[in-house]
Amino acid sequence: MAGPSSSWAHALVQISPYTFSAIGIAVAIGVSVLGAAWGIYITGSSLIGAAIKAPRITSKNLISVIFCEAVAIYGVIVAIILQTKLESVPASKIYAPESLRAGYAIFASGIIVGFANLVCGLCVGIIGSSCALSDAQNSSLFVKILVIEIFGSALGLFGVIVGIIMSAQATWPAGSA
Amino acid sequence: MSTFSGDETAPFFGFLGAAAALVFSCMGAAYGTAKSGVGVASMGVMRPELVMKSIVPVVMAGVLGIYGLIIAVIISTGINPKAKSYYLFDGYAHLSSGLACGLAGLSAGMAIGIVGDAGVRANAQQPKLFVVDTLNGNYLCSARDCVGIVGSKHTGNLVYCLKCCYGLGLDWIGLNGMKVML
Repeated sequence: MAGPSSSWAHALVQISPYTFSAIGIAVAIGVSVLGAAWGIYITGSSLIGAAIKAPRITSKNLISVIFCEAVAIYGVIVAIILQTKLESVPASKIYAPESLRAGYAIFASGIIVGFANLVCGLCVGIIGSSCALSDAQNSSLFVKILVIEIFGSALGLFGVIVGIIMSAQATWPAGSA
Repeated sequence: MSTFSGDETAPFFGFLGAAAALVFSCMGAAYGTAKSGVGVASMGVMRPELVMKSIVPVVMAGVLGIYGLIIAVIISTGINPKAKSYYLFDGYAHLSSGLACGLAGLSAGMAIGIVGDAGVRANAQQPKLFVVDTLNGNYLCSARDCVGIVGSKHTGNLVYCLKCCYGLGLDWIGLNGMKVML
């Protein structure tokens, strides 16, 4: 098979697949935790403010914080799975097409999980904050707004599913040395 | 390795297409869910009995995430240079179909969010507006899904450019139509 055949390819084949894999793993956990933290502070600040006049809401509305936290846990799980996909190949095969593909698969998988969890955490945080505020007004609204929050938290799960399916493509060439 | 055929770096673009499909669709779904959810919660304080009925925009925004998931899985299982040759053409086609699906999903989600927010608040005051509110999201979802699946089978560029414009055009119509109705 011939060498790189386009301008992008000339640049991309010079980058080690391990670079892409490492960045993918870091993004998977780093950006997921960013999303979880963002959601938690949005929810938490509204919850604490609303609880001044309605202290009864505090214990129930911690569920919103837990939904945001789950997003960070998804990021940790996928980062651990992705790093077990890393294998060492002999130096002659680092730039072989199959290892390049494995590097790209881990990179894309990490990007997917990281950014899907980022937007999921934000979404759950915003809904959690309005859940706390409307619960303070009328306690029958809590469960109804929680249903909306569950729809929001499904987005993180989509990211995890696709990330794990894609990481199955990360097959490195068998090393002989 | 002797069975590998195709260009070496084509999988980069292919996987990035799958990533774009899911990430941008999830961004749209998150925006739609959050924006309409805030509208539902605000409206529910005054009219708690309408909350369950007003969850429709949230459900439609959630469906956008599922569409992105489907396209991302279709693309990523199609990248198999050992079973089927994978050239740069295939990589670019997957990238474009993923971007088409994802960006249309992002715009659909933003439209659903804004229209849903305004719609549920208006519905609380005027019950006749319920159907107008729900129709807007549907056009965008189906246009975008067609684009993604068509693109991943490498058919002509013109077809999916047109379908993308169709989806985004309805986005504009939906937003302005809502203002006209009120």
